[in-house]
Amino acid sequence: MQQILEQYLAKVPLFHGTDHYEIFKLLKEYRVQEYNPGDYVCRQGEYNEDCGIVLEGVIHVLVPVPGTKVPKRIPLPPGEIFGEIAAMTGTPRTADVVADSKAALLKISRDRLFKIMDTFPIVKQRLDAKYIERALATHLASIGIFSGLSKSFLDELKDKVVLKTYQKDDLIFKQGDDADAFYLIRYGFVKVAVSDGRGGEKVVSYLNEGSYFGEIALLTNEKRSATISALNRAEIIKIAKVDFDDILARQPSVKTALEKIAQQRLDRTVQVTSNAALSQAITAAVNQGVIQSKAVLIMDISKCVHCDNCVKACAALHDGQTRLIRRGLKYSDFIFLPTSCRNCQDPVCMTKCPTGAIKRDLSGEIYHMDHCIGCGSCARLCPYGNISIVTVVEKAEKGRYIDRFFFSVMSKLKFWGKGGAEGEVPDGKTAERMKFPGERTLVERPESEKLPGERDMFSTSAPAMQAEPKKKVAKLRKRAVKCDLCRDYDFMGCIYNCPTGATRRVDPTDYFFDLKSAG
Amino acid sequence: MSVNGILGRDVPFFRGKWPLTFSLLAAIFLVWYFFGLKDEYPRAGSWTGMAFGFIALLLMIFLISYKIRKHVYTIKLGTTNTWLSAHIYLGVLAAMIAIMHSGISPASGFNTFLLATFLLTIVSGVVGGLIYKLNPIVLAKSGREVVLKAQILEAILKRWEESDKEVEGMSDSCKELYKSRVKTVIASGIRWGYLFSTETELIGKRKHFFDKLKDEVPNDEKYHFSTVCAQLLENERLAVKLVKLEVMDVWLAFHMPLSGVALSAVIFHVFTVYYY
Repeated sequence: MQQILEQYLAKVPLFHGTDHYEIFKLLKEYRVQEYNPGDYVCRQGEYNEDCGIVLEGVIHVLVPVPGTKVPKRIPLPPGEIFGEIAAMTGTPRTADVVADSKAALLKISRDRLFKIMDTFPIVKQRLDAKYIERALATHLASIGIFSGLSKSFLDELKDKVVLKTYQKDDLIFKQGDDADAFYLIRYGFVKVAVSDGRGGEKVVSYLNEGSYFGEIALLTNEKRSATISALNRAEIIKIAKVDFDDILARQPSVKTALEKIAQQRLDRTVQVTSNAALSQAITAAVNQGVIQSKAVLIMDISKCVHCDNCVKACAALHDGQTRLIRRGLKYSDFIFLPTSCRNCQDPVCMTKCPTGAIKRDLSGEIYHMDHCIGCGSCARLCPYGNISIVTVVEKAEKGRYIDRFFFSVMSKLKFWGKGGAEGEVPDGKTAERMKFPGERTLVERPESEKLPGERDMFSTSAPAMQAEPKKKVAKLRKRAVKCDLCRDYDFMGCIYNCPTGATRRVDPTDYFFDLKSAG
Repeated sequence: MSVNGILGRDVPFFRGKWPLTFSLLAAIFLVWYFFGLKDEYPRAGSWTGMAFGFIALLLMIFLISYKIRKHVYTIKLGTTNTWLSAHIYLGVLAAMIAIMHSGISPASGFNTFLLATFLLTIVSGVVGGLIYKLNPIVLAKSGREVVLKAQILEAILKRWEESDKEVEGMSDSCKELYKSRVKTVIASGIRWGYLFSTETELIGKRKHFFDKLKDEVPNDEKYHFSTVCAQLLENERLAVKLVKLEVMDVWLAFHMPLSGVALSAVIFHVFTVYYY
C-alpha cells in the first residue's frame, strides 16, 4: 500500500519536489474512498475537516452561479486537491463535489495537512496560490454586484490581489487612516466600530463572509470612516485602490451599486451612534461573539416564567447533568442568551483536544465523544464558559427511571423519543428532528444521498455511538459536557419542554439580521 | 422571525390556533346544549347532562395530566407549550361544560361544593394565566438587568454586604442610624407590601425618606452616607421585581392543591352517582 500510495503522490503537482516517503509518514491517518459515477463526494454547506486528493477518475466541483440554477462545473483531474479551503479554515464546503466516473480519493485530515505544510513550505506556497486563484474566482462570482466581471479581467486581477489572514482582534484599518484598498471577506467576521469621542468605541455592525468593506472612503476620497477589526480568524482579499478604480471604470453599474450601499452604511452609523440602547445591544452581541455562532439558544424574557423546566429537562435527558445554565448575556429588553453551546463557526474549543474527542459533524454540530478524558482543554478555551467538566458514572443510566419506564413500555407505540433506555444504542439512522417555527435546520440530506462506502464516523447519525470501541473505563471519571442539541433524541429537550415557548434555537445571522450592515 | 429591533415589540395577547379552537368547541357545545332545551335546561340526570358530565370528567383528567407532561421530558405527544395552551383553553371549556352539566342549577350541597371548587380552580387558572402572561413582560421592560430570581436575590444581598462594609468605617451615630432606620426600611428579600407598587413610586418614597435621614447625619459624613443610600435604592427597585416574580410561585402553590381538591371531589361525585 505504501508503495502504491507513493506512486500516486508522485503524480500530485502539489507534492512535486518533496520527499514522498516523508509525506507518506506524515499522513499517518488517511482514507482512500471510492466513488461510483454520480456519487456526491460532499455537499455545499457541510462541515468536514478533510481535504481530498483525486487518485483516479474525474471529479467535478459544482460552483453555484448567482442568477442561474445551473452550476458551473470545474473538473478536477487526478492529482488535484480539493476541499483544502474548508479543511484549513474550518468553514462549510462552498460547493458540491460529484464523481463523474468511478473515482478514488485520498482523504487527508486537517491536522495532517497543516503538518505537511509546516514541513514542506513549498506545499504551503502552492496551496496559498491555489487558494487565491480559486477563492477570488468563487468569491467574486458569488457577490451579485461583481458577477458581471469578465474572466479575463478576473485573471488579471487575481495576480494583483493580496490574501491576508487576520487573527482575533487584529486591526485591519483604523478610523481616520488613508484609504488605499478595497476588501472582500472570504471567511470570518469583522467588526465595524466608530470612535465614541472618549477614547472608546461604539460597534456599529459586523460583516461576514460574502461581504466587503472599504468602499466608502474610496468612493468619497476621504479618510476611513470606521475602524475594522477581525472578530475571529478572518481571510480577507485586499484589492489595491488602483485596481478597485479599474473595476469601477470597467463596470459603472458596480459603482452605482456601491454608492447606494455606502450611503445605507453611513445612515446606519448615524442611526446607531445616536441611539444608546441600540449601540449597547450591538456592542454586547458582537463583542460577546453571538453572531459568530451557528445555533444560539435564546430565551424570550417576556415569556419566561422562571419555572426552570428547561434546565430540569436538560438534566433529566443527560444523566442528571444539565448542559444549560440560565445565566448569560442580556441582548435586549426581551432577549436573553443563556450559557449553552453555540456551535461556533470557528470553534476554538476543538483546537487543542489531546485525544480528538471533540468533533464536528457534517451539519456543523460540535459534540464530545465518549473517550473524552476530561482534561479541560476545551473548557478553558471556550470563551463563553459553555463547556463544563463533570464527573460521570460509567454506564450511567440514560435519563431518569420514569423516562426509561415510559420508553420501554411505550416505545412500541412510537410515541416516545429515542434515548432513555439503559444501554440502548440508536440504530444509526438519523431521526427526523422536530422543527420549531423559525428553527433553522443546518443540513438536510435525504437517505439516498448519504456518502456511500463511508465510515460511520462521518455519518450525521450518532457517530459517537457507532465509532466508539468497546473498552473498559473507570467507574467514576471526568469528562467534558456541553449542549449537543440533544443528538441522542428527536427533539431539543429545553425547547420541547418549555411551557411558554420562551426558548428557541436560532441562527444568529438570520435572527439578529438588524446587526449586520447593508451589503 | 425577529424581534422588531430592540426598541419595542408587539405582544399579541391571543395567538396561535387555540383561541379559535376554543371558540369552535364552545359554539358546538352551546348548540348541542340548547338544542336539547325543551321546557327547562337539561339537567345532570338527563342524557345530555350525563354526556356533558362525562366530557367534563375527561377534560378534567386531561387537565390534571398536564402535571405529568410537564415533568416527563421525553413524551412525544406535543411540546409542553402546546399542552399548557390546551390546559388553559380546555380548562375554561371544561368549566363551561360543567356548568351546563349541572343544569345551571346545582342540586345537593356536596354537588354545589364540587362545582364551586371546580369553578374556583378554573378561575384561579385564568388568573394564573394572566399573571404568567403579563408579569414577564412588565418585568422585562422595567430594566436591562437579567430578571432571574436567583440573580436578583444575589444582587440584593451583595449590595447589602458592600453597604455594611462601607458603614463600618463611619461614625457610631451613622452606624446606629443605618442599623435602626435604613435596615428596617429597605428590603433585604421578598416584601409582599411591594406587590402593587411601581418602581418609580417606591424609589420616590425612599428618596424622600433618605433626604430626611441625611439631616441627622454629621456634615462631614453626609456625602458618604448619601452614596450608601443611593446604592440601596437599587435594592428597592430589585425588591419590587422580586415580589412580582414570587407571585407566580405563590399562585402555583395555591392552584395545585385546589386542583387536587377539585379532582378528589369529582372522583367522589362520580362514585356516588354510579353507586348510589
